[in-house]
Amino acid sequence: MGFANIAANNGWSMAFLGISIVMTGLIVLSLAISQIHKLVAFWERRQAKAAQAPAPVVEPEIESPAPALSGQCPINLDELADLYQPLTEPLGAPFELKELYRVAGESDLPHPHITIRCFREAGLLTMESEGLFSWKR
Amino acid sequence: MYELLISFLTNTGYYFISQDFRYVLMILVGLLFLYLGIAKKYEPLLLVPIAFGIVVGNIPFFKGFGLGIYEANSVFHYLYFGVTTGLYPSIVFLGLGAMTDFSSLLAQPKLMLLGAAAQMGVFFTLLGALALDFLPKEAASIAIIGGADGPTSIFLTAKLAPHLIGPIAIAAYSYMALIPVIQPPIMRLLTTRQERRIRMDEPREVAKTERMIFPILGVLLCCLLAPTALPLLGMLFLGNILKESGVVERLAKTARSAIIDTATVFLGFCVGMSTQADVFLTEKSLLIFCLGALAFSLATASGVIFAKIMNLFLRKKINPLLGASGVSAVPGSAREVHLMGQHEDPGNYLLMHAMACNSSGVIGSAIAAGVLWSFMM
Repeated sequence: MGFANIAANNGWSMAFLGISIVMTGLIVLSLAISQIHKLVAFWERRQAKAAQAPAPVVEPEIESPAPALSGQCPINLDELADLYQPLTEPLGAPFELKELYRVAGESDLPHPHITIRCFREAGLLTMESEGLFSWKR
Repeated sequence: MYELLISFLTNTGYYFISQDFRYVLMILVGLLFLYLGIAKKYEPLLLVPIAFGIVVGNIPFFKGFGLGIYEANSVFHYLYFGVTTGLYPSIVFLGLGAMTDFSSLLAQPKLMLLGAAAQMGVFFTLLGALALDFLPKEAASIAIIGGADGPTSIFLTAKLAPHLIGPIAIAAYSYMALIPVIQPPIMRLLTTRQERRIRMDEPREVAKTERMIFPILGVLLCCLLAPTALPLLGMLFLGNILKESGVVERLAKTARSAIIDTATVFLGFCVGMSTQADVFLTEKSLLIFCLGALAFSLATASGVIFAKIMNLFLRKKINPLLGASGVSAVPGSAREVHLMGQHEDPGNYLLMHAMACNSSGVIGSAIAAGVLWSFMM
């Protein structure tokens, strides 16, 4: 019973070593993850440089109406924002995204999910706090 | 006919209950837990299946019919197999990984240390349990309650001291449900009002590539250090890469819904059933409950104190309340930290930061379990 039992079962060593191993493991992991964004930035810079290198002359292609942002974002985001912004006035600022989805749905605006995602990606909608957003225009 | 009737009556649960009132006590405990889960909404996803399991598991029966969870070839024994082998906890970790967004942790890696610090409670409790004459394997299983992670506690206990699964699992889940009662006084005691009002910077945006690299890096670094944590961390990071890769959304969705829900139902129910009065109501169980409370409190205190120590060296101070969310009770402890921060300063939003500590606590407690398991090999 008591300290004698701890010592008899190697308790002090197990506790000290256990704490040290867990701390070391998470310190190493935290150091590693603190470097990930630098590695990613480095990799992206390299890719950007490669993209800037003079490309071989190719036949001009017909320009496709590619969206300015990722995936299926519409090009005329600012115009769309002009449509969406008045809808949020009754909601006040900041507002919840689900409310914006709701009013957009009620107004029969097409593809509100994609459009709102694109607003966020373009920085037109910014997060004020947990789950609350406002317009940045 | 009279003899037949008597024989039938002596095989009913009513007869057995009249012989041993401990079953009544356990059924009442089950009903209390049901009340807490349903009416008070204390961790209902866990508490309701556990509570119902307690009620079902404590309906006494004639031993030898192959009915009980501890009787070979019974249906419940087969379901219990998922607990004793550590299968359900691993599946729960898969779902947990598919649910967890590690962005806030990736944005503030220093908060990971708080998840590590909270695990000190585990090892302090190991000493306490050894001092109280528990065998080393039992002491390790009790100590992991301090990690505040139900599946991890069950996993380690299944490996080291399967006869204690009932009390340890009930203690672990009860304390997780009682976070709003246990943690706030400790947080208040160890911090000043000024410290509780410290505001944290908005975390930076985390790129998708970073989120994708994290599970790979995590599994390599953590599991190479403690391979015994593989069944938990391997599954956690598998779930996370399913989520973050973006190419197997269907699998990620199933992992975070149907799979984790199925495992949770069986895990909770079987743990509840394992509390059969004749096995559960012992002096050891009472001691385990006391040590569990100590483990949980020590883990909370260790996190808070470590955050204060970190502040001695940091130029930009962190809110020491975050240390309390270093235990892996997701998201209960993060919510509690956030609420206390808001209570002192309504404009102080700590939830995102606390979730970072919470997720590192999940990793930390799995490593601690792996380390304890390897010590006992």
